[in-house]
Amino acid sequence: MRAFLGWRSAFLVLLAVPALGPVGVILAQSFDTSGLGEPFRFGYDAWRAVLAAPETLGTFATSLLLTVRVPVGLAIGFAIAWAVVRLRVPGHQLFEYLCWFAYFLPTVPMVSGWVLLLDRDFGLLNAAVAGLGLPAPFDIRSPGGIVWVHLSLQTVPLLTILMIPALRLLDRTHEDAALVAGARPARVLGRVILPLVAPAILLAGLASWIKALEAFEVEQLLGERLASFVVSTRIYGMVSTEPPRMAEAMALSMILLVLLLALGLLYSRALRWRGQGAANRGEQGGGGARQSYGTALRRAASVAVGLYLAITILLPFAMLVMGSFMKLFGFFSLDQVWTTSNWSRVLGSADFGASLRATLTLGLATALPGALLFGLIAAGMTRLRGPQAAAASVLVWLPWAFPGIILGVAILEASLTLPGLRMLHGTIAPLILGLLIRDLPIGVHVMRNALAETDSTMADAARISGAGWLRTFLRISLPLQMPALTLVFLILFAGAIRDVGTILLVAPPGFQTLSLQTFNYISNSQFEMATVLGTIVALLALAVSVLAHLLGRRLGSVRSAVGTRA
Amino acid sequence: MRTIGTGLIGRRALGAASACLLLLGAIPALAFPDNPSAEWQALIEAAKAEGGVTVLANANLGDDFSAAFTADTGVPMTLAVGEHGEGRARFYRETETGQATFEVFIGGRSSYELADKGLLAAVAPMLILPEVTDGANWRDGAMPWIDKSKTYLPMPIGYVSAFVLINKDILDPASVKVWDDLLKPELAGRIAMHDPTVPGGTGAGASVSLFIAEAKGQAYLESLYGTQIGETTADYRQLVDWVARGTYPVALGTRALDIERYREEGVDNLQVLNMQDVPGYISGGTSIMAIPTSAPNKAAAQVFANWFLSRPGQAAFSRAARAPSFRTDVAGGDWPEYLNPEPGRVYINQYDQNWAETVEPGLRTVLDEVLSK
Repeated sequence: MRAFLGWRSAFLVLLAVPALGPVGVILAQSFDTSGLGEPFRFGYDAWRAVLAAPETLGTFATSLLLTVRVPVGLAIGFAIAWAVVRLRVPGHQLFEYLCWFAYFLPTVPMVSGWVLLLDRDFGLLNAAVAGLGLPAPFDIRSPGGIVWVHLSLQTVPLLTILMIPALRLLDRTHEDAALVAGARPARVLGRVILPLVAPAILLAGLASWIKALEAFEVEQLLGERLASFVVSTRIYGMVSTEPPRMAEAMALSMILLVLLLALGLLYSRALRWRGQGAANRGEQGGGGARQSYGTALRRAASVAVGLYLAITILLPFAMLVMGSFMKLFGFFSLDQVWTTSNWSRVLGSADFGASLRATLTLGLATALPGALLFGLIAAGMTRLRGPQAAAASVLVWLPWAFPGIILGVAILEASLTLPGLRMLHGTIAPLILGLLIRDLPIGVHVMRNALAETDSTMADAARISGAGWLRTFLRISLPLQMPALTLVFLILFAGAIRDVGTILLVAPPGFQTLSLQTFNYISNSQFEMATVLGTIVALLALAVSVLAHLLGRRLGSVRSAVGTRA
Repeated sequence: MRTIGTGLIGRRALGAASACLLLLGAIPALAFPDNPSAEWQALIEAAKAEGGVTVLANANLGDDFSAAFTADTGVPMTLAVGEHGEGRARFYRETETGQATFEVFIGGRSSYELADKGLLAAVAPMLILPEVTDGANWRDGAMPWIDKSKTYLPMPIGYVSAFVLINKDILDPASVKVWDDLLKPELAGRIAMHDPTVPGGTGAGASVSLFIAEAKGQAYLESLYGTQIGETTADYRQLVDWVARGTYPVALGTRALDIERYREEGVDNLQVLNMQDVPGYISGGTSIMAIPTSAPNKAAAQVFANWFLSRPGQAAFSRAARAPSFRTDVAGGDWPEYLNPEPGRVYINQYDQNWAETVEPGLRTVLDEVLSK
């Protein structure tokens, strides 16, 4: 019993390091008032400066305002999920796949696609409207434009992925009864389906709201006219100024973290509550889709969903590819608009080969050990009970609330200032660490769900036969969980190759992934080159999404966890 | 990275040549410098033994710049993005904690405090090539430095900034000759400007505003911001784009790199004007070289410092950065004429530490007051 307690305590401590370590670093640095090159000196200067700055309240208000996309995304995502699952509209499999594709698409280059369409001065959609004699209605570089980009590329696809499994698990009895009783589809939707999946919708909204508050890349790239207007971009501005205002950046980060951690705890509790609810529904059985809705409704819904996904996912992707062939990005009035020189420049550059190698290296170095590690953590968590299980659950979910840019700053500071970590500075180890901490919640959650759905008979038999916990895990559980492990691997791999915020400040000189290079190109306004790299990363994402989709179909319930990354 | 000048085939040839030289290290065929001293040759060998040099610099420099260095010295070079935000953060934090993962940083001004605190290596004693230390090879008889001690932060590039970009299809260039012309009522709300509030305060918008405050006074700056500036942006390329499309016929705080790129691709309505009454200020752009005391490969850093300030180094850098070097033997390069300082004119040097410590604070106060209105 004592040995068990020891093992469990050690396990919790190990979980606490990645979950609480970054918070500790940020908190400590926020109280550092030392000058350049001086040792740590405790003080409140940074906190005073941040709290007294009039911009602080404004940036938080703007950050909150931009989360308006979450309820909008929930509405659209639910409508799509309903059409895909309950109506089984023609093309539902393709629509579901498109959402997966969007989930894996790199956001940074896709922004270029939307710029070509919605730029105030040269956007094609604006030009089309102007051709009708009307004023240009769109401006991508505005709060509205930023909300739209998030909605189309991230919020809606991810919320849809999240809600599809919830709708699939829905007990069909009530819906059948309502339809037989003569209720119209809208009434069934409003009075039966919505109340039943309300917990799942609320959970998805909460998870999405946390992520919306910490968004960075889109705001940084499209907010140029609105310098440092959300919290994450203001933190980046403080870090990258000369000399960096690290303590102030940390104090501001801490305020944001407290808010996000509170939401994270709420989310963790809601997740456990919903887990119990889902089990109750499962006991009732009878889930599955109803196909007796009218053909006209199903066709109309199919057209609507198809149009929406084509406009929000395929159109900007096509623009991204088109932009890579433009001599001058967005200039359609030149004598010669098109060229292949952007591709030959990028593919012929020494940087490209190095970036491709860096991308694959980081992807594999993160995803391979990460999948195994998360599998082990999930397996370990199944052995916990009571308060220990609750504590582990909270610790695993805490990193969900870490904005990538803040996590990157914390890891940079830790590797520069903590003696034990200094030897890692300048290597890719801090990058891998950052990415693993960032993906800890989703990776462990996928594995926990997969483990929970696995028949435990074989593992029990192994243990009764005298096999230890580790041996049982390696010889029985691991092979059984291979599809889930592969899915986690793909999630981690895709996350690593498209990440910018977490690794931006930590990547050693000369180690530049394709996404980082794309971010630098766009930051330097070299859209022509950025679109070439973006297209390449998007094609990589396409391959990963095909694999993930195929696996996802085998792991229906697991997808619900993936979707929580909204 | 964007590359300018040498074509793709040329770059490949250069890269292949450097690779061959590295593989066949025994071939003493490097043509730089003309008559290498034993000290230089020993330094080169030490740099090679260290494994090469990592330089944090402007992303626009591209492959040509690093290929030129390796071709001239035989020392491998890694060029990493450094001038941009995250690169600057890395430079400062690694330098002040004594854990640099790079040898050289090439960026803008304001590393004075690091130099004052002894966190930067003294570059002056590292310079051993006669062509670098010989004042006759530099305009004004000596290589410019921006730090007061003239030891740590050389400024080899200098160009005229605060030029005005106009769309000549919309605006007659003859109508904008002096700064007061920008206050004409017909230009009210029609001037775009680089955002002066970009964090760090070292962007073109802030620099141009400080220059105007110094040259024309607070009242002029208030009028400019009060009625004439229609919009600001932190995106340099967007400024040029606005002028090219006619969204705004005039822009302040643009970069020559973007202007020339648009011209090369066939945009022919852009014209740059240097105001006749006050000619602008001298900017070092992102050419200031700094070496942390904790730089891991010290010999490689020294080789780079000498090469960077030599004729071939300056030729490669000014070609990539499209800006004139202070070296007298690097002239007529691939940069536009309007960047060249006019002989006999006196320009404010905003990179000078004395200016930054004595004049700039007052001007910043003026700018803050104007922007707060």
